[in-house]
Amino acid sequence: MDENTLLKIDNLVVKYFLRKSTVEAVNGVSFEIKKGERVGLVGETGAGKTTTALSILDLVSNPPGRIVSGDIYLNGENLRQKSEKEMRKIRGNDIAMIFQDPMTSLNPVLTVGDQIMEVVRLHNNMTKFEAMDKAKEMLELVGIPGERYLEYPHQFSGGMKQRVVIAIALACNPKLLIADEPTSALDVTIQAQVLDLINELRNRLGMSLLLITHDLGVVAETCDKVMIMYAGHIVESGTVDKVYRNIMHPYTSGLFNAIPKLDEDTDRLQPIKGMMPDPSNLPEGCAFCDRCPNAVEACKTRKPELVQVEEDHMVACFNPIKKEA
Amino acid sequence: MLKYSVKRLLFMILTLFLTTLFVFTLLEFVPGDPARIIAGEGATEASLAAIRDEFQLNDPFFVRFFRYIGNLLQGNLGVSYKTRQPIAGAIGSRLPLTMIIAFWGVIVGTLLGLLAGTVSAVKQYSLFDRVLTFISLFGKSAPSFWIAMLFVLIFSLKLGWLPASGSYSFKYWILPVATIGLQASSGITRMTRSSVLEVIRQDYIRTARAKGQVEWVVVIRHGLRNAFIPILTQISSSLCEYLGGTVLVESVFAIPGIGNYVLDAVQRQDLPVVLSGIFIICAMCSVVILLTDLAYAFIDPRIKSTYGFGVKKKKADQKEGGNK
Amino acid sequence: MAKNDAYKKKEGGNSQFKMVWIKLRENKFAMVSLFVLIAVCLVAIFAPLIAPYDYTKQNYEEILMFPCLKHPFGTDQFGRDIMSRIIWGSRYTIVIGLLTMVVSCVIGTALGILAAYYPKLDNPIMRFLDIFSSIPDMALLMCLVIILGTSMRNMIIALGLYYIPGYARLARSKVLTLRNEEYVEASIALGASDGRILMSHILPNSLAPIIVRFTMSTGGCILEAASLSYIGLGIQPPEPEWGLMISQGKGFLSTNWYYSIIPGLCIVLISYCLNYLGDGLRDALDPRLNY
Repeated sequence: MDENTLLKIDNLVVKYFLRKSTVEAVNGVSFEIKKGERVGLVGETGAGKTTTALSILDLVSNPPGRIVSGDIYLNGENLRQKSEKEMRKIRGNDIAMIFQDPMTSLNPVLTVGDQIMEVVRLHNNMTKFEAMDKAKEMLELVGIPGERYLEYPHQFSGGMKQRVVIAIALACNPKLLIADEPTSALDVTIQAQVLDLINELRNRLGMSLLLITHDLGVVAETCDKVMIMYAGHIVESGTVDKVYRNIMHPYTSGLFNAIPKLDEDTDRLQPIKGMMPDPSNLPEGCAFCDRCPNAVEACKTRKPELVQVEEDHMVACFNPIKKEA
Repeated sequence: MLKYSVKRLLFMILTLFLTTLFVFTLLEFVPGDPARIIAGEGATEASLAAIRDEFQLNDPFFVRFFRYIGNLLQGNLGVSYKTRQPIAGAIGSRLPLTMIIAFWGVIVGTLLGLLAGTVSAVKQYSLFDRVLTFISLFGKSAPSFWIAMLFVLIFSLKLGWLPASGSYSFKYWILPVATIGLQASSGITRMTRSSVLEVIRQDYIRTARAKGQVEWVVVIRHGLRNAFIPILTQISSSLCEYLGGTVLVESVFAIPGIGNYVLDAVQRQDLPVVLSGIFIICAMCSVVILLTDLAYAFIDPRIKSTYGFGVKKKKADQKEGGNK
Repeated sequence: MAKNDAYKKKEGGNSQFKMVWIKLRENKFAMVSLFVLIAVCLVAIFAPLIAPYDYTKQNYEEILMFPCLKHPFGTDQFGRDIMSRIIWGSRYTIVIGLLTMVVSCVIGTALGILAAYYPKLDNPIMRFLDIFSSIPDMALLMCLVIILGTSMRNMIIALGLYYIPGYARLARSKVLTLRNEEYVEASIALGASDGRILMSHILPNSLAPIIVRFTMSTGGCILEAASLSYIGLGIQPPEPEWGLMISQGKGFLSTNWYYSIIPGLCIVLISYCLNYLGDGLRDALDPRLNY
């Protein structure tokens, strides 16, 4: 394995076993994140983005969810073979995660200082006072006055809460930060601030970033690499530069067409027709087949594999969009 | 916080006053002449008149009511129709027993209920969960006096481990406490289970797990504490129920507690005892409810801030948020 | 097809009950409970046909007999067949449980709706009920019994009064939340009368929690009724009420344990079934729990 690879996911399959049906949330996802690299994971709600992220930390809620197969390597070590105790040392320490809704991801009955201290003391051998200082330092780092560490989450606004969540995530200098739609629950005006903060802190601390979002614009601003996910599959991936310049997968193209463009005068956006297939009842062939303008006969019966089409650009499609000459 | 407590205390006194008025009024409707109840069937008109004078029964309703309230304020609970003894003394000697049994019963029930409910929630739909649900429903479905008799049958009559009735020492309290504990635990188990289940799905539980926290600390520190308010309400209402309702358990074990005292009075139509007994029971419940209300603030800082604590800081935060 | 279903569901018509029924049928405990409860009701209705002996007949040659083939549940101190008495006693339990709940449910719900709809009545009604329910249950019941006297009718009145505040609070809170729902606001905006909104939106939508409460409280009510009879403030001897039988058997606990244990088991059985059925109904009626 490459020295530079921080995280490598190999053929990950996650399913939720419900009473009547089995939801196939993630179906054979593989990707790598290099040290210091910023990767965007894009897809619509229900595409399996969050499940993929939770699998990395082994936090898929069980029951009903379970990682069925696949391997996850962090610095070459297989996380799937670690014991629960070893995984606990990794969570919050090597890999930290920011969740979508800051309103609910802080414990309402503990002070924010306590909640930062908790993670600090779990992974560092610190006295209470040292941890308290560290908590204050982290609050300052995310732009909150340190003396507010004795306050409770309900005394903070949404944006401030997300800053606290970021402070908790970064308190132990993780090697990988997973941010699961960190801004979608916030006001538009606050979104940019929080993203800037994440970006700035990442540059300063130099960790890798896995940014989960449905906003292609955010990815363009923040990330080096992008992966497009659909119905539990990665359908297109590559460097932001290559993918954005040369869209190959019809789904990616659909996503781009659904964004309003400043330089074109269109009356209506072009949404992707139809709905994502029921994840408990996926079609035999390509999951996007029914909605795809480019579908060919093979799409109905076989699943396309992710193949390299140019350097740093892969796509899973039998009939990708050809670049106009 | 202090201001809130005082307000709450005043409100409690008002409620207690109205409750007393309510019970006092209700007892006015008891059929039959109180003087005849006191004197017995074959009393003469003259002796009835003497009794009416002695107990001041001829005064108008409100005069009698406010005299009663005035006496209450001086710690005088009135005089029994039947024994002509002061009620305060009789209640004073019976109250500790009822309190001991109710408190210990609820403590046992709380410990059992918290443990069983939490485990049940964490292992939802497991065999353990189902068995616990079955057992906790038993406490809810079986009459307390019947459970008490079952305990007597098994532990005193068949096994001979514990005395069946009376209240002379610690040993005598075990079965009553166990009966109340079993019943109280059933409600607390169910409340704990549903409340923890609700909380355990919250995002902050996931945040705590993502920090690398040990599972049982996640469940107790982040889960149980957030789930505790409905559980505390349940505990407090159980305590109220058993402070006033140990009569059933007391009657099985022949414990001379306050419940038995009031029951006796009801059967003999000894109205002052009924009135004062109910007053004491309600007063104890009011105190329990008041303490519960204040305890909420210590569990949940959001409630504390609505009590007028930390409001300034919240405003400051809003300003700051607005500026950004 | 799906559209049609959704439409019907909104109407609160038959198909909602069908859906609840389908869900309830999956719950084995609830179904067994329902079956047992129906069986108990049948036993109560056909008591004269089923009971092997006359429940009042004393037989001094067969006093305090242990359960045997002739008397499956034994006999009491007057030689009366306990099984026959239990079969007849089921009538008391069922009638008291159901009548009390119907009375308190109707009055309580009406009071709750009144309080929610007319702000002027809200405080007086709810504060009065608060006072009422601030008295612990047995204390209040004893107090009511002393006024009303002991008889079956009075016990039903006393228990009914005791259960009113719970229904009133439930109905009031349900109405208050439902009134802020958008579809209710929409029909207010369309000029629908209070009565119409009440009948077509509020009542159908508050039905679920009221049904669940009804089922569960019936269990509680049966216990309270038995308790009152046990301490001598309910049904009076020689009637074969179960709580009363437990009380009468108490003196024979050391020699004839079955005398008070068996009627107790019957109470437990019915109460268990009502609770399991209530649990099942709540799961079936509460869409939040569906996943």
